Amino acid sequence: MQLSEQQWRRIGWDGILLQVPQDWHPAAIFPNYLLFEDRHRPICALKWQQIKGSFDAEKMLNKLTTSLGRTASELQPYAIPQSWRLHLDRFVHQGFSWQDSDQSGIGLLLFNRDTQRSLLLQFYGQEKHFAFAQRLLAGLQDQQQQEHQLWSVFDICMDLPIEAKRTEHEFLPGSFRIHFTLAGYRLTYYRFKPAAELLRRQALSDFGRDIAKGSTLERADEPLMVQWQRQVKHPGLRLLERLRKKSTCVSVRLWQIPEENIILGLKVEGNLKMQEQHFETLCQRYRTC
Amino acid sequence: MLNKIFPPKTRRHPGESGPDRQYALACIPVKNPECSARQQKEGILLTYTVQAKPWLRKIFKGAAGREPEIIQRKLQLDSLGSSVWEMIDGRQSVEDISRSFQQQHQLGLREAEISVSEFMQQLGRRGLVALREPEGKTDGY
Repeated sequence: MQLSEQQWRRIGWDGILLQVPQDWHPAAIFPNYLLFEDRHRPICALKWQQIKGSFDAEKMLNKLTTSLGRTASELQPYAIPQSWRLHLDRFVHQGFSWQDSDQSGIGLLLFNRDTQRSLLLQFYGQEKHFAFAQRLLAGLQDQQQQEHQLWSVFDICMDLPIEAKRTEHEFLPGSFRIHFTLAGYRLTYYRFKPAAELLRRQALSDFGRDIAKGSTLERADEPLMVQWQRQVKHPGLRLLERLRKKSTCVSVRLWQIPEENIILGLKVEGNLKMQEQHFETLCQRYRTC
Repeated sequence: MLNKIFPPKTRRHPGESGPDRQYALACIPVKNPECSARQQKEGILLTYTVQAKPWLRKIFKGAAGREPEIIQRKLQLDSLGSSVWEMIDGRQSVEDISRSFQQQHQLGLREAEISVSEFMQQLGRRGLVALREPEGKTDGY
């Protein structure tokens, strides 16, 4: 069964971009690791890492599988179907399968020579259920050599320069946060839902007061957008703030998209004020998807 | 023998808890009939009774000269909690409620499932809700 265009969505995380069926949910999101579920069962896991020096498939496979709770002895060689191989010409690849008491599956170890990144893909279940694999492999991209990388997970996505490094993330029901560092700045992306309930008894500026703590309200286009700024100008105070490891310049913007019942936000902290245009671009490149 | 005392560690693979979660979502929440709900401006106010703890009884006895068997507690739900409470009708499963909640607030399905499940757990801990096993399983809750 082939799934139509609308039934797939893009997922971008830590430099990897792929397309997955709409029904899949990211069940575990860690640095360099994604696990997807379909109807409450694991269906696909991806783990990737940078390789230093030469690539030894067997050694790499042992290392990656052990880190995923398997031993190399559980694995059997697997002949990758021709239809899958068509999409793997940019990778060095090796297939394996496993079967234990309660689970079975197929795995692919891929290595991108250009980016020196290895990727372990695991499909859980029986091969006959892997109709999605061809399309998934066709859409698999390593974004490391691009200027920008797309971060896209759940219902939010952001386009960031490749230099941006994710430092922390938190996905709680109704409240998402992803932190990045970029050119000496700390960026925090927020997403809150359901906006209608969160703003039922308070204005957007009241809702964002904790996020913007210590900053002054600079712009309030209620109920759609509010913005705060903080800039310590006095040299003595700047020094004091830096000694306290606090940022001397903070910009915060929260905006609501009523038709999607969502509040998005961006906070930029640093010791130099970020250029207005740059901040604007970062906000524009953060959207729902 | 040693194996019985110190069972060998088993490695957990991703998603091993899958069927349990599916089962929990298929359960049907039922309200405690002794809990009363009153609509207020902020949301629904639940009033329920709990058995007094022995240490509390002793303190109360010392102070008031009598032992309280039960004490009354109140729980104020916000608008989201109230909407979930209203959906508990003894027929809809946790999954059905999660789907309605998801559609009502334009949330992700997984996000709605986690929110509703956690809310049910909180209500369950207070004895305000019990989960009835899905049909086809053993009776009772």
